Amino acid sequence: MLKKIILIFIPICLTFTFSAEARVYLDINAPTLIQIPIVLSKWKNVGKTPATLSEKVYEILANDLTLSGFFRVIDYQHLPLDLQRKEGIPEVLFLKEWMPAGGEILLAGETFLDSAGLNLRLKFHLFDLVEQKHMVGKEYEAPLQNLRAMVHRISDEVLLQLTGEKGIHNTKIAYVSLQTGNKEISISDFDGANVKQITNNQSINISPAWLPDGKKIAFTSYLKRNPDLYLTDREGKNPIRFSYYPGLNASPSWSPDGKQIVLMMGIEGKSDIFLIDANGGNPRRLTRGHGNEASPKWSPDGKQIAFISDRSGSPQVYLMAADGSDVRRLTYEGSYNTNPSWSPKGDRIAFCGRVGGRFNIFTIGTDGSGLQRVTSNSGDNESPSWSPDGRYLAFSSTRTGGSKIFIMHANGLNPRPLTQAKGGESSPAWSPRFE
Amino acid sequence: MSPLRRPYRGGLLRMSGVSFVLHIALVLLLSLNPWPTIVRARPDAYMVTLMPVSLPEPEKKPSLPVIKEEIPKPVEKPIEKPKKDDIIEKIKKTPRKEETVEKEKDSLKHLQEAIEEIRKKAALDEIQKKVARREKVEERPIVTVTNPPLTNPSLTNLPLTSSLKSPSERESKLSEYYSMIWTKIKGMWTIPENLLKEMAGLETVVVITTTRDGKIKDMWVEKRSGNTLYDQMAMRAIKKAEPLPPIPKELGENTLEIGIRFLPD
Repeated sequence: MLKKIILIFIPICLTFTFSAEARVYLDINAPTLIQIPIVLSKWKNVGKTPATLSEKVYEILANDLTLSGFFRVIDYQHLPLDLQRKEGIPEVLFLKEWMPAGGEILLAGETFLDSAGLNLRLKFHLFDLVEQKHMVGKEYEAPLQNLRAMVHRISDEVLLQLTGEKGIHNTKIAYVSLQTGNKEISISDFDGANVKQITNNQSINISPAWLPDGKKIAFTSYLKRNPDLYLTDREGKNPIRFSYYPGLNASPSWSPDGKQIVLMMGIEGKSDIFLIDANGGNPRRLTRGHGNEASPKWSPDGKQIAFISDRSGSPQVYLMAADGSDVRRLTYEGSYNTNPSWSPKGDRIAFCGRVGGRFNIFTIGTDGSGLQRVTSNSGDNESPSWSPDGRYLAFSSTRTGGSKIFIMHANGLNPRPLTQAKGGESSPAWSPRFE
Repeated sequence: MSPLRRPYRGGLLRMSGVSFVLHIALVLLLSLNPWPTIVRARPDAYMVTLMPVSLPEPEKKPSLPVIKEEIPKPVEKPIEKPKKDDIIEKIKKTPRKEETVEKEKDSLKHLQEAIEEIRKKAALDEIQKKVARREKVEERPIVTVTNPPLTNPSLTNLPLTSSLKSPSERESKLSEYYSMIWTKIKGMWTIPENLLKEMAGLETVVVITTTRDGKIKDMWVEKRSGNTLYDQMAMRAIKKAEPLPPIPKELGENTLEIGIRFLPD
């Protein structure tokens, strides 16, 4: 009836299954791990658009796609001569011309600046060179000053088409910067552009946290001597002090609905996890153990809170229900685990663990399974923070000397410094996507 | 003890007489019993199969109509008469003298299964709406019909046009061809490393119909992985691998249907 003949090929096995319907099945595994080769043809300037504008668009786009870690960008300047000159959007019928470019995907576009020089229009089209077909085409229009955000949108769309998940090009990272000599809060685009210092009070400002809508940032400041919680917008304007209970007011994390804040409070060397309302009122204590509790992080579904406790004798990651019940210990490996960060899908928690006297980034399933070490042999690595797509982690690292913010894939690949700025950096917090 | 022997001797004679009669009766009875008849009938049936199929053997009659019944159905959809003749001709060209009736029936069952399969496929094709691309629809069923014998342990029926004499020769030629296909597609299958984790445990099965000139005549996803991107990447690997190694002429096949299972590991 059925006969299976299995042939073993070198180390990989190739299975021919001679079945009754006479269809043979070949098992193919272990794909070659290479980035998608994407051809970026020269962008076309429509009308009187200055050439520099298209070059700028091109540069941001190429950088976005490279930083994503999924693509090998084939720059038009490295194409055969006849293709170098081709600009703008090609006809699907003539896609064959692009075969010598050596890519699987072609991204082409046009820039159009209106005569007043205020409004910018960007049009792009994505083509599949293997299947010789058009994939997607979109047009964006916005004031010229939004150029970066517009290009990031294109990159997001390309990511969605080619990797199945929208990119995170329109996100920012808040962090503590020592550039001025004081601990101040700065924010930067995900690609390191538009660095902006949002506090300038010469005090100590730490633990930045984004509100769920990404419009405001909270942080702890010693401005009035006591470590209180402040709230400010992305421009650093109108800071308000909203939680100033005696002692520590630190490490805030918003519930996904934005109505409550879980934070760390404490007096005289003993810290606990508290809940307060979004306006800072109505404090409720969630932990009552004899240990110190710190770094609470609300889960993406709002049902749980991860935190650090030393109740077992060493700092470890714990989980509890949002009402403080059902406490369970998550980490057992190592004697020092801190800085938990909940992945956006809610299935994993990244944290910093000490191994052999060095700090490294780990991730673990929320059921305690699948512990993975993500960094190694690269200085001290601390304070992981997930990107909103769950594909990347921002963290601080001393791999190049002083502590700097780095971004890597959640599997540890493609680490890169966030900015080239000088001065120490720590405590990154990744924003939600800005629509 | 001796006085006792006499009456026994008389009884012994009587008993042996009864025994003789009983034996005769038993032998007669046994010769009428259906069970031993089957035992004997076997060599009879065996003899029947030895006869060339061209002779209208009574034993054959019940089997041939079965085929005829089954054939018209698939004919309705994708194929015309040539296939019917083909099947009959092939059955006639099975001069395996060692074959038993059971085996014959077995292969007929395979034929029926194959025919059933053709019908399923014909339906699937319609769903896939790729009929338009296929000009000679007859080719596909022929492949499937000629192939089932290949699945038989003895590889009884070789394709009519095949120039390969022994089944093992054909098998090794096929293996060689499949391994070339495997190598070519595998070489073209790429995934960005950063996506691999997201694709762990997925499986996509793509079925292709290859031709003698190495082209992919038909391609459809038999099993989706649930991840559109992963499916796309699998399809892309196959597209990139085209043209595939041509089907060896010796196999005598115009097209071959191959399933490709993509497993990230």
